[in-house]
This record gives sequence, C-alpha cells and structure tokens, in this order.
Amino acid sequence: MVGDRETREKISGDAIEYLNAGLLKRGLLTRATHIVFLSPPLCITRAEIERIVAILDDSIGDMERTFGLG
Amino acid sequence: MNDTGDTGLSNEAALKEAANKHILMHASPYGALGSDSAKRILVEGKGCMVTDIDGNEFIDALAGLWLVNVGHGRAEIGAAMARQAGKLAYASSTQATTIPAIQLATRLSEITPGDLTTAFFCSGGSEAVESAIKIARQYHYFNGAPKRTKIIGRRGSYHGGTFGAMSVSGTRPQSEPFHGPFMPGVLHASPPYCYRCDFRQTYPSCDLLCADQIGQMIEYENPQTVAAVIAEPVSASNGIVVPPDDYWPRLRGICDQHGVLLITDEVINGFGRTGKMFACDHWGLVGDIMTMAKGLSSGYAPVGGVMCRPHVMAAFEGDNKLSHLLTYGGHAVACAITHRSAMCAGSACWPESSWSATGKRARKFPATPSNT
Repeated sequence: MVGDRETREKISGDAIEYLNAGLLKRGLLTRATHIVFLSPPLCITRAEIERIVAILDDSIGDMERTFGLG
Repeated sequence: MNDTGDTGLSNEAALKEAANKHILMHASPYGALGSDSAKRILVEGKGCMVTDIDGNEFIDALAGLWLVNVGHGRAEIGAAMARQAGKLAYASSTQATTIPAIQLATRLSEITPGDLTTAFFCSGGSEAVESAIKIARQYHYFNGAPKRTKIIGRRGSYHGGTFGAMSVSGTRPQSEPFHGPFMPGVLHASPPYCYRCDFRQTYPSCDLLCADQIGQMIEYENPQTVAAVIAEPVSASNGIVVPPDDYWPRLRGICDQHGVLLITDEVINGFGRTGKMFACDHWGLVGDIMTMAKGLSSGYAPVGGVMCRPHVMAAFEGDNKLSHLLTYGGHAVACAITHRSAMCAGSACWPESSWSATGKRARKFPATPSNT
C-alpha cells in the first residue's frame, strides 16, 4: 500500500498501527506493514474468503478515511 | 475449563499472568502478552478459525506463520503422531533412521521438482537454510573447490532467524543493529521486484538486469569463490514478489554457467501455497538444493527438510561424510505426521487438480477434519 501513487511512498507508522488494530478488532489474524500478508489455510471456504475481503475492505477504508489516504 | 495439567493454573487470569512472566514471545518485548492487545493465548482451532482463551474467534488469515496449509484441528494427524510416539519417538539422527523418515523422504522424492531425490531432515525452515548452506559449501570442498564459500542472497528476502539464514536474508537493516557483524562471505543482489525496480527500469525492456546483476557479481567475486545463490521462487517477505516468467530460466542458466549451486527456498512457497505443489513448478525450475518446512507438516510438528539432486549427493560418497548433524533431524513422530500432511497436500484432490487453468478452484478441499 502506498500513500502516494506517484512517489510510491509506503504507508507506515500510525496508519499501519491503526490498520492492524482494525483488522484484529474485526476478527482477522494477519500481519500488515505496507503489505497486508494473506496466506490462510488452503482449506479455506468461499464464505471465509468473502469474510476476509469484507474485513479488509472495512479496515483499509477506515484507515484511509482516518488518515486522509486513498 | 482449559487443560492446565499439574501446574495449578486453574483459570484464565492465572494462565495469562504466568504466560506473561514465564514466556518471552518471539519478536516481542518481555511482558508483551500483558501490554499488547495483539498478543493472545490461543486454545483451539478448526479449519481456518482459531479461538483464544477469552472465547474470541478469529480467521487465521496467515495460517499461523504461513504454514497451517491443511487447516487447524485435524485430529487424524494427531492420531498418527500418537501412534508413532507410542511405538518409537526418536532415533539418533547419526546412527539410525526410521520407517516414517524413509516413507517421508521417498514421498518427497516423488513430489518435489525434477530429480531432487535425497532428503536431509531438520526441525524447521531456518535449520533447513543453515543445512543447505553447509551442504553447498561441502559439495564444493569435496569437488576440489574449497574456496567456493560465498553465498549470494537477494535484498528483501527472508530465509530464517538463525545466524547463517539471517546473514543470507536480505533484511539486514532490521537485524544489523542487534546481530551484526553477520556471517562473512555473503552478498546481496537486487530482487526481481518490478514495481520497485532497483535499476529504475521497466520490464521487459530491462532485459532482466536484476538476474544479470547476479552473474556480474559472480564474475566480479571470481566464480571459484562462490558456492551458491539462494532465493525464494516467489519472495514472500518482500511483498509476494512474483518474478517475470523468464527470470528463473535466466538465473538458472547463470548459476550453471559458473558452477554455482542454486538453492531454491520453498519454506513458505511450498506445499500448495502458490497454487502448485511447489512454486518452482510454475517455471519448471529445479534447484540443486531445495529447502522446505512450514507446509511440510502444516505446523503439526516442527520439521524441515533439504532436498538434494544426485550430483550434489555424489560429492558425499565414499569417505566424504557430511560434516553436519542436528539432534532432531528425521524425528520419527514428526516424520510420521509430516508424511500424512504431505500426503494430504499431495493427494488427488490437492493442489494441482484442485485448481483449473483459469485459477478457479475446481474441487473443494475438505474444510473440516474428516473425523469430527
């Protein structure tokens, strides 16, 4: 994830801490830096994938709004 | 109520307090469990879901640490572990091997790329990388090139936390303040990361400068001093960096041209993680030495392995014994359950036949343990 698509500056600091907290609060265990790492068990169901995507959407959107990104 | 054994830790609060005092969590400050809401005590898992001691459920979107490929809570794997533990848990890694180890090695020789044939077992990915480095150096020593000791890694890559693995990793800015100086004789080349190209070039007009740079490094250093190049087929820690399709054939050729061994690190990539059994399979790539761990046991046992091709093994014939041993290499219980996990990963429904050419999963892998 970049804060500026021209300079490709990586998102870091408070925004990433906020994102990690948001992912956890919404029930997703993973690790985010400027990269959100996703490697779930390969037995994952379609419903679980959709839930992961929804949590990511909510959490990243929340971060973008809070920090004026995107 | 959780199983607290004979410790007298009979409730959640006591367990949390004890954990905070008696466990130094990895990559964490002391006492993190009490101060960091991202740390927790997990008590149960099933498929993709895990539950903590407070009853909170989470989707495990990282499969632990990139490894629980077959999912949590597969009691049949635990049962295989129990059967082997009751029969024979351990045999000296230097004086004996066991039937589970033989079965696992044979299975791996069947499913790993090309003519990777012989397994050296260890306890995890870092040990696998350490072992691969030591095997590569001894290969050259026994082939009359004792000065071939240098290892070339790539910037941004991660190969493990032990000293050699950390040294060949391309994550020095994070670890150098605490752990430098690193193992000498290690160089780092640019990764095939087109979005953040070190050369400010664009593929394909770059003509793979990043691969050619490794050839230039080998030539500059003198090929007779270089033992191996180590790289993940798809660099995970660098951001799941998938290289251009002609990158691996080019780099494979460069290594061959200079007599340098190629160590393909499939610790994260392997066992279905990239949609094929091994990421090397996307490009028909065969490393001279291949490391594996993580998905090998799907986390049900701490186990890793190093697969070697026949020409590598040929250097160790006769009196040329391997100068390397690890106490838990080929642990019978680990191999018994790992064999089952690898069989599961390699079964008819998984993963090649479960993904169509369009990338859509064609056949569903059972999401929950079959015996629950």
